Amino acid sequence: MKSFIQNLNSILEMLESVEHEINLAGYSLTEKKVFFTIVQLTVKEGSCNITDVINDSNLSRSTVYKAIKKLEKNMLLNVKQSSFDKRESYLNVIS
Amino acid sequence: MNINSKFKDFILTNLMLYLFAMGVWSFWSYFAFVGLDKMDWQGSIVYLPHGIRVLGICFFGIKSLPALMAAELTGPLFINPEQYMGVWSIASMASLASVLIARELVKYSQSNIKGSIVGPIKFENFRLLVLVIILSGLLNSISVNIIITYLEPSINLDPIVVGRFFIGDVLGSLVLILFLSVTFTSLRLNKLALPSSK
Repeated sequence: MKSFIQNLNSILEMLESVEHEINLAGYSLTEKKVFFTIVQLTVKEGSCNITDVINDSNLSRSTVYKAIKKLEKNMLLNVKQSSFDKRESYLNVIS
Repeated sequence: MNINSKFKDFILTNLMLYLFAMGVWSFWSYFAFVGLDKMDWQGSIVYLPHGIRVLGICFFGIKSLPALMAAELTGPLFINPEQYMGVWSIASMASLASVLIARELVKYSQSNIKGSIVGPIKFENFRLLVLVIILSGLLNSISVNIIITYLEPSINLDPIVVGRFFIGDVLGSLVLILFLSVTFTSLRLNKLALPSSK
């Protein structure tokens, strides 16, 4: 019985290592939530900034910042500073 | 581990593998046989059942053979009895043997290399599994075609068919593993499955 569970666990470890290697689903639920919030706000409002994401997602500022940094690094997002207000940054989804 | 526990382990392994194999067979048969003319696509080029052979033999060893053999015999009969009767059943035994040989070859090849980048021999390392998939696909495509040609004189040995078998087996196994990986990861991320022991 123990052997069966050990073998099954070996398969799961292998499947996990495949996922890590190809990074198909390497985003946490929070990161996915931030990404989907940005997409939804962009579709609804036409544009979206970091404060909008914080208000809409109810996540903390630091969590949203971290997620945006990762998404930007992975070329899923583009962060552009507003020309009117330098303190504001607009988020664009790279399609 | 006592005899009773070993027996339970054996039954559980075979039952689980057989049910899983039949599920994959049903899924694959849909692409392979149902509405093939409508889809304009050769389903057999992605032979998913080869993935079950590789997963079963690499992770559960020889004790998985009864379930794999039963799946090889009943899977095709359950779905399309006319096409896979007779010599194909014997050929499917050669398919299982090719996975076993490939696994042993990989084990043997790594045992002589000190500090091998893919060692130690643990199939949790998916690179080793990919090596088994490629080797077994190669052995399977050659052995099955030779057996079929020998037992069924109306079928000629065609290198293109051998190539198709190889590509089908390799692609099928990789697609199955990728599909399972994505499914498992999604379940884990959505807290529907427990994380692994790591």
